[in-house]
Amino acid sequence: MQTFAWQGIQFEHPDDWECVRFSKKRQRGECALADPRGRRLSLLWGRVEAKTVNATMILEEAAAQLGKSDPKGALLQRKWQTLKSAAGWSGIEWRGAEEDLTVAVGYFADSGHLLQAQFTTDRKCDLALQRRILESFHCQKPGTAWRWRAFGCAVRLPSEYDVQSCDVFPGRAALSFATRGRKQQRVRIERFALPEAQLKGRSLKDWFASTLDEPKRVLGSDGTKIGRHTGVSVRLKPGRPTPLQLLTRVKRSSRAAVWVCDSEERLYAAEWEGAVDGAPQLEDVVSCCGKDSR
Amino acid sequence: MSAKDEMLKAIPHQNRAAMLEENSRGVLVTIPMKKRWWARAPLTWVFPLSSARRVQLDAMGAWVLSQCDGRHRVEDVVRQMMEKHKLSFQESRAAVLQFMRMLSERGIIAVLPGKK
Repeated sequence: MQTFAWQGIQFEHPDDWECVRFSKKRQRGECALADPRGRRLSLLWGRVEAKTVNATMILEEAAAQLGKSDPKGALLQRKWQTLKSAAGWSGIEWRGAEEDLTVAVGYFADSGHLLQAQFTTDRKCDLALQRRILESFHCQKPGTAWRWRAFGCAVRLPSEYDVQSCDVFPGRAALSFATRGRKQQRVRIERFALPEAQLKGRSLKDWFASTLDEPKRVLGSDGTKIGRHTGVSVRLKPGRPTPLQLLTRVKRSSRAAVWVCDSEERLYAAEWEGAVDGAPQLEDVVSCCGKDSR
Repeated sequence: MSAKDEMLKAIPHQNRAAMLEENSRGVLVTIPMKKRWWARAPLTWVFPLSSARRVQLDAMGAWVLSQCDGRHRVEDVVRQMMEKHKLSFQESRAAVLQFMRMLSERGIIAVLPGKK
């Protein structure tokens, strides 16, 4: 099993499931995971107050919608509950004409997350696996360090950092996070497959310098250790300030760490830019080798 | 069977007329083209029109082309690529399908439906 962590929601899933759809919104959003045969889990989340949560009504609505979209299907089990999870999941099982569905609703009172998970199976429904996944769910509280784990990237950042962009291409994933306000901090993590094809014989520093856009440039670099790997720590000229930073003359700086993870065969580039005070240690933010960040 | 599944079960075949030539950058593929009725003198005196299309493939592209032998399914190529370069299934599928579409558009391969 692997961990998927996105927007403060974390759960375990089988190794061959991958995220194929995601939302960047924190308050309300959706993500989906698929295996080689197709979509397996769709997850919807919303931050709501406890008094507005009515799981029974949500499940009844879901059953009514399934009945309309799949008239040949039938409700197998009206309702079940898992008590092991803090969310107190309750759900329904639907046998469709082509695939079986399990719809579960859970509410995490600590973080105010209302979750709706929909499992899809084209073969025999694996209820034990579904319950195991549901019981592994937990939501991270605001004001703590949040884990982000998706598309092979494992990141740990304070909850104030919100995802700004997420670009996923074959062999390349790039995640950008930023805080708000005058003393904005930005963190960008890029992960590339086929390091040798990326580097083309260049040093890590030269390769990284070639990826920078104007007005950023390399000011200097040093060799460094990132986990078990040898990489380079690069001092950068920061990019353009925001109008607010320009007016209030916020002192900014930027630096990056670049390394190759031999066990994953991936090239990593982690870049930070922001107000001088409050800079995170990039080595503590990103982790590789399948380990979680410290 | 969904369209995605059908594509994965399909079998890519290399164009028999394509000529492969190894060079320092990978493999140069030359595909002879049908001569157009208008591609004749005096137009060809002014615009030298080539009778063949040339496509330069890097080492990875050449490897994918070598797998398009009429025996391997698209899914087999995707899985081999996944294992060879430690990619995830979705990454490997996207890369292989995109590349095969390019090869198909240039007439280097033809993808035929696999047995059901």
